[in-house]
Amino acid sequence: MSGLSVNEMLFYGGVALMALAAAASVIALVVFSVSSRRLQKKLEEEYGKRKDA
Amino acid sequence: MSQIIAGTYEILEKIGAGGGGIVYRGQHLRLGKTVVLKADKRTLSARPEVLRREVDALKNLSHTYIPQVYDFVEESGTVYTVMDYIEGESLDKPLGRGARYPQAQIVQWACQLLEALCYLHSRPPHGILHSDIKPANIMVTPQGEIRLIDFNIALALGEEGAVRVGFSQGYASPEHYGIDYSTAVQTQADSPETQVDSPETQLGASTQLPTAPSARPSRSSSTSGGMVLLDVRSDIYSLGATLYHLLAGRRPDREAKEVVPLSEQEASPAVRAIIQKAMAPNPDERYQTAEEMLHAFRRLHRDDPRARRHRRGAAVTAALLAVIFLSGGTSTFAGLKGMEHEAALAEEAERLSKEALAAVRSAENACRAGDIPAAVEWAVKALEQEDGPYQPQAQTVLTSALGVYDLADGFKLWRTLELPSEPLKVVMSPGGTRLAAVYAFQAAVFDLETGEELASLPLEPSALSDVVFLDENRLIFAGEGAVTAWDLSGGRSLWTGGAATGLALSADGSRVATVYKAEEQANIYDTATGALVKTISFQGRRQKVAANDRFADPEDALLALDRTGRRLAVSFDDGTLAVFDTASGEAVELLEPSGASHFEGGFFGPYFAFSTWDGNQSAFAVVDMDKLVQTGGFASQTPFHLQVDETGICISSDNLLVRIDPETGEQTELAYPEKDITLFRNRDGYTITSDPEGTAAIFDALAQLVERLETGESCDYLCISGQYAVIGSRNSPVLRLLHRESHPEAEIFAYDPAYPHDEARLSADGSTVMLFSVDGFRLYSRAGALLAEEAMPDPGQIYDQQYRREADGASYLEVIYNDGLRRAWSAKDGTLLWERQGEVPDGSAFEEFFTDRLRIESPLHGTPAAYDRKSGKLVSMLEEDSYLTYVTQVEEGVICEYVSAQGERYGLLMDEQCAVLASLPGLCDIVDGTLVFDYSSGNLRQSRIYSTRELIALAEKYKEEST
Repeated sequence: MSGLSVNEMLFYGGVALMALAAAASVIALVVFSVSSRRLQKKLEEEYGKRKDA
Repeated sequence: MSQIIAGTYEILEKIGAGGGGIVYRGQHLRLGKTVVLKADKRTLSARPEVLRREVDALKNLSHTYIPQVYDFVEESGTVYTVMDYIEGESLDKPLGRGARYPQAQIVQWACQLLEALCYLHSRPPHGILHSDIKPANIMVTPQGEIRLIDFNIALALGEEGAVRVGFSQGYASPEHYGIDYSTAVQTQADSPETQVDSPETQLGASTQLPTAPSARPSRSSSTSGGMVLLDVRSDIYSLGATLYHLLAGRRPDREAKEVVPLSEQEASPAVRAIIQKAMAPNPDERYQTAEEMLHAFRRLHRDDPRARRHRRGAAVTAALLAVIFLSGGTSTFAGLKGMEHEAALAEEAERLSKEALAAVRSAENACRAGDIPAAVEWAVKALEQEDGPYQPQAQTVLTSALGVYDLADGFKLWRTLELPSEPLKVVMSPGGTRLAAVYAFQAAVFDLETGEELASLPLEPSALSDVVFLDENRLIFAGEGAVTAWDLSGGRSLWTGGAATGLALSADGSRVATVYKAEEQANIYDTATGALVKTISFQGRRQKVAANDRFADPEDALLALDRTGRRLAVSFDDGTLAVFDTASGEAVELLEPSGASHFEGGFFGPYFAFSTWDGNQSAFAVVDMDKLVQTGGFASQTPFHLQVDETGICISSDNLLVRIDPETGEQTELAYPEKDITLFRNRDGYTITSDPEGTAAIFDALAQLVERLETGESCDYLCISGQYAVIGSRNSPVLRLLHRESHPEAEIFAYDPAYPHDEARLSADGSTVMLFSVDGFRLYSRAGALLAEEAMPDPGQIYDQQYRREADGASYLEVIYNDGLRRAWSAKDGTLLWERQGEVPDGSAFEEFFTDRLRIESPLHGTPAAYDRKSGKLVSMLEEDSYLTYVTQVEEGVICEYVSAQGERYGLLMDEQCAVLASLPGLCDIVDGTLVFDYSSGNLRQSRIYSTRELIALAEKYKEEST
């Protein structure tokens, strides 16, 4: 890292952060989709099919 | 039981009784369709048109969860309403059997019921209340959907004025009983338990139509004349109670305030909350509309705490990731912009660097070419980029161009003159203030002091056309069609003669001889008047002229007058050489026809010296013309070059130039350059020579080299006179001008230059100067008095000599011998201070020098190298072909003193990165940061070290002065 300038660190760090966030978003999307489906199923068992107001 | 109603419907069976009447299953006789016929209980009390209006209203109802009313018929005073037959059973039956339904199913039914209520409550003009919602009035179809039936009570609500309607205990709202919790006033029905027909449905509270504008949006029930008005919130209570029953499996308490809340096992908290709100005793605390309650059911999913937590978690995660992503994006953007900025800066720096490099190169080229003003200009431009990579080079060029560290007397490059085309001949005036350059086919005359062009004179269109100066203001040139004498100060012609190309001027300037190309005669003119004094016939011979004389002057021909113009020497193309008596025209033949193709020569007093070259051999001879005796001469396999004038006879052969005494033949060395001399000029005690490689060298009267200039091109024209020297090439229109400089102001000591020495040193107190070598030393006072002179004992055994200046002001010369013996001589009076035995030197002559940052190694055989003292890393290799003798740290950097392979001493001023900032030729000592230079002319001169800023200031001053 000593060979990188501050701007290069900002750039590559930022790219890494964006990539990390993108990857985390995909993971979160999957996790929340699964949990949402599970919850939806549970709520449907409890309240019936969802009919949005 | 079979009964025909209105001739259309056949009553099949009684299927129930409600608050509004008895319900029958019937059949349409023609269609065969199963219908429900409901006999209205109010037949006796209600007016037919009222019932008609109500039934019309019901007939217009069309909703999925409400049975369709088809007809309204009267039979035997009973009004029947005909509607859809709903298959299935009402909910009270399974409840009676103890059936329980899942909450999801009940929520679904609740939504369906509420949709039906929404529909009913929104019917024009003021909505329709069902008023008796309970499990018994809710049919469940085989498909699991519900139908809200039994609208008789609702119909009653449409009647003007107070109507007693039925209600069902437990499902009826407090308002049905005449209790209004919204105002804290309870109006008890006069007969709350009045049974109408059904065991469940009773006629209860007296009600009125809700006051305008609508029952549905009414926010509160109100009493009117002791009666409690029902509104949509009553239906909402009943629906809540029905749902309560479905969820709990038990009918709610009749008294709204006594209703036991649903338990956690019976319903979800959200559903319980909805039921609880719907069954609030105070109608103001209930859902105010069916839509509101429907909305609450439909939002069960969304408002569920788990769903909220899930959404919140997702939102927080999304926000967090978005923040991270945006932070990354911001960082990337900032980094990218920064990198772009850095790249732009780097590009700009590179551009500036390239510009600086180009400027440095231009400065170096200009300096090499002798264009000092341009060199200074470019060097300053290169220095404008502070801390640029080419600063040291620019500074080096600038110091060279300005000559701040070159304090030797001699000729320095001064400026250049650019001609329209390559020169054919270059001539200087006798005083050295004017220069005439011949090019095709003009003669440009310059003032050397200012560089100003004084005149541009048209010449005879021939490369043979010549120019001679009479003095500083008059010249004679081979003008177009006529030889012309020209007054430079007046800018006018003095006289003209016949056509001419070649000119020869007598040394006293009184006569000029002219020849025109290959004409077989010469004319002698009086230079003062232009009068033709004599025409000399060549007796059928002619001078050698190039086949195309417009472009080439072989300069092979000899045409010379003696001092007074009495004799004219002429060479001819047949290889003969004759000297004519200009008075009689008689000729003395000096050479018979020969193969000589090139002649040089002239008169020195009565002597005529000449040289010939036939391509293989060169001959030189001196002839006493008075006695017609050859006084000297010799031959060589290489061509002689000759300059004969009133100052003497100078002849070069190979790389030796001498002056020959025509009487004794004694030779005095004038120049001894490294390579063969191709051309030379000698005047005013200085000699300038050129060699085949384009190196021009200037020697002083002692034949010592004072200036050496590598021009990079052939030096075909050399002139030296007065304060100036000129170097020109046939291949370049640029003439280099050198100016003779001296620096008496910098002189600190003068000595006999004939004394050989290697080094010169000032004592620490500055009172004495010691010149020493391995052979001995001389000690002078600063005033120039010789204090001591000693020869070194056993000079062949001397290993090293060190001049030492002690902190206490004492100075001495320490001599180290190979056997370790050391002797020291005082720099105060030259006496031997001590003699002692020391360590025997190892003979490697390896030396190390230290500055604050550098460690410099100097091996005897090898290139000195500078290392970083801290890291030990190599910083730079130093001068390759020279021996490093001293290293001195000064404020501006480091000065390394060298001895070149030719024995010349010089120094280099370097920065901390060992980049050379200045060349210091002749450097012999550094005393308290002052540079001391030792010149072969017998001078010690000093200079302080200039900073970059001072150099730029000097350059600006130089530019001002030069313009």
